[in-house]
Amino acid sequence: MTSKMLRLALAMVAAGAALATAAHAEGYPSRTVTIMVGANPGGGSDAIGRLISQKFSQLLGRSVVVENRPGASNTIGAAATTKAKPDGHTLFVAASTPVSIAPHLLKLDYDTLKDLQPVGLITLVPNVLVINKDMGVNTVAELVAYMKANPGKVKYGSSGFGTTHVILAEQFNMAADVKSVHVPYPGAAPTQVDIISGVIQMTFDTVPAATAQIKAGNLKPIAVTSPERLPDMPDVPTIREAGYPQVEMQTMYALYTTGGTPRPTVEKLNATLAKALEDPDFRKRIEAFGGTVKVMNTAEFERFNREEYDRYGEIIRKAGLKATN
Amino acid sequence: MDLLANLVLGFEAALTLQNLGYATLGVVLGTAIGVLPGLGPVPTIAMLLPLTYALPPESAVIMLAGIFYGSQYGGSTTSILVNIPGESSSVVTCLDGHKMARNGQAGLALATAALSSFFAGCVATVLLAAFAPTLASVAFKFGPAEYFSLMVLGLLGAVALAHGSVLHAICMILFGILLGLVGTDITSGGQRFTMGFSELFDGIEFVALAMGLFGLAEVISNAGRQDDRQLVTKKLSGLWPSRADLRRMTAPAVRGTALGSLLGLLPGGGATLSSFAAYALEKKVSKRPRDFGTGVLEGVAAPEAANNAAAQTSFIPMLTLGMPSNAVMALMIGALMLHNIQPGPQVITNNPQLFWGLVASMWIGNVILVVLNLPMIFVWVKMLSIPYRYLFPSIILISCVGVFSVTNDVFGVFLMAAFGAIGYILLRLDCEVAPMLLGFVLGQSLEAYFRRAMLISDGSLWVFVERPLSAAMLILAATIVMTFFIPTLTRKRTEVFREAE
Repeated sequence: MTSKMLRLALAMVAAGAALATAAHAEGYPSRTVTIMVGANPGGGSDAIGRLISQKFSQLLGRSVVVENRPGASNTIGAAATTKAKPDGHTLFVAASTPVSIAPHLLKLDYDTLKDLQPVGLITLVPNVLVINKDMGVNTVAELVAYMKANPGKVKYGSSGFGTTHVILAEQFNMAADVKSVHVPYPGAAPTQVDIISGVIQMTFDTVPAATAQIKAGNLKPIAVTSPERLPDMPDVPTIREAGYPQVEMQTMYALYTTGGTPRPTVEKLNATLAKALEDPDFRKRIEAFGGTVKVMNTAEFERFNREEYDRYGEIIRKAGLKATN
Repeated sequence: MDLLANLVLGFEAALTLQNLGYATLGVVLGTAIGVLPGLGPVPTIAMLLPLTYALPPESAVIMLAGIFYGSQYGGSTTSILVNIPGESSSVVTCLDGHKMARNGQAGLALATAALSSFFAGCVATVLLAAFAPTLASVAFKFGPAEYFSLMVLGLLGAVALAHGSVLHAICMILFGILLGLVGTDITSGGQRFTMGFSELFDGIEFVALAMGLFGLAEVISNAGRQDDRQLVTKKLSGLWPSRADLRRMTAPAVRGTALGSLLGLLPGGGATLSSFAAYALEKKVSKRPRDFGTGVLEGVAAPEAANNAAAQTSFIPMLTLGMPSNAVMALMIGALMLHNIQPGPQVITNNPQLFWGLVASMWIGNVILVVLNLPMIFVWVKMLSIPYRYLFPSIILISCVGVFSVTNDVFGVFLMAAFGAIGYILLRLDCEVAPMLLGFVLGQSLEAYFRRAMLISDGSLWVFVERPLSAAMLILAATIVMTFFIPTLTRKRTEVFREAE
């Protein structure tokens, strides 16, 4: 069996389930809906994309399939979405990277603001500032003092150039007027190993990736980047409480479609997403990836999308982050 | 005894009718996708993930794990029969396994692969049960400097993979490293050799590279041969291993298992590196190193044992630290999170039936695999009697579908075609592609670890010799180099050189 056939089989199972609850679709969707995922199977966007495809095929009464187009900071998946027919049959599950960050760093053959139509927000995932536990540092203030006393000694890990880890760490450096050296890793796990063993000192890890090591007492959390404290770590202050409101920032997972899609279709998709997120079981599965689900209507999300885009752009310019070719 | 009580708990969980069924389903599916070149466990597991929501977490993990090690078994089948490695970890099996098939020993090669994998699987399961919590800490002893030194050692060891000239082997390794550098530089974000193709931003796709270099190149060279278009000679001898064969494969399988169990613990390419390393080691200790590459049993037994052992011990960092050592493990973590289980140090205490059930199901899965695969050998070998003119278009078609399914993009298919041509040229030039593939796989990490170590040491090269583990590996690497260049120590120069080759 090939991957296509397997997928077809799965789609047929999903479609069968969908028929039972067939919603009345007027005009849209008229054929299979494809959800582009810009990453390989295994990560947050893939898992969220697959959850959405399952729920959407129930709600829309059509099969909804996931297509992985991994690569280039999720921008290949984004580019494929921009090139599709603008009729809402191609959706894109994006994290902040391809829509808010990469456009400021890479030369892309699409204009994020024009060629991608925002549909709705799915979830906001906070980051948590974690440090090596043997540094004798317990708070953000102590970390800043430590960095000022030992200039250049603190290294921060990231999951690569242009990830939220880098944006946050650079923003923190500017806000606290300190210096730390960037050490890129191919993902959260190897970064954590090196922080635990003391090879590097800190990172702004995403909450789902860091939770296990924090609970096991291997990583010390000293601040979260969300506006409120997290129910899972009530003792960890927010970065705002710690005195650096500029570093308050959450990675978003959101749904987009091809730019130029008719407004009624976009609204229908937004309503479908909202309906999906109201289902407590679905919501719980999405929130298992560490974020809080937040429902926005299309206009709200369009505004939010623009603000995020501008905000990342400003940080990247100020921190002087630019791909050196 | 704790271990026994735990294993009992595990077998109780794994031997329920339902879980036994899912284990069987997983390994059968895994074997099937392993046999199909290109379609690996990663896309399969990803596609099945949504279907596992409804299952209890133990059943889900048991089935997904079955797919993973089933595919390790299946991957070696295509390596042996048609010289197409479905997975990077079965590249080495092509070297001697396919030669054995050409010599009419396909059945023996397949049986050797199955039996040594089974042996490794059993040992690794016991290791997993006995030492998982302790072994997990090994990962913390390895910082960037240690990894860099390990890669250097691995690459120098790869010279032993070639059975032609040492010079060719070194050039091929370097060529592989260069290919590995294509893509985005993770430190600066700069593009290297991507020539404007965004498909190359993340580097060259391994599956396209391997299937082009091995599979397509093989097809082209076979098609070019006027007289002998049969994949293997008609005469099939030794379908089952004799007592002497079994004796011959024992020591290599033991060594391969030991090496594989150890390297599987390390994040990043454990199974691949271990199969290469096991082959190199076997060649080093063999009395007849010249025969490697012509179809010797040891050259199949050792890497097959090593990759299977590594595939299983790679669960240790995933389950005990929540650290995936490869893409499949990353997916397994995703699967656990969908069931609200946070992989990490607490899995053993919080979900003992899941942890021990998985351990027990691995052993059961291995039994199922052997029971399933040994009779299947007849079927596979029959496949070889299909006339080549029918077989080779099918190989090309399956390869194209396989490559396409990885990225859902025709770019990969073009890439594979290009590497097919390159592979054919290299074949004609007597340059072996196995060392090149290892250079490609390790080259990216080699650079990344080097730069990471340098960033952390603020630019001091001493970091590689100050850390004892790293220093030890570099000394070992230097010793290997010396055996190439100072061959007059004990024996005559020519003899040693021959051995180094």
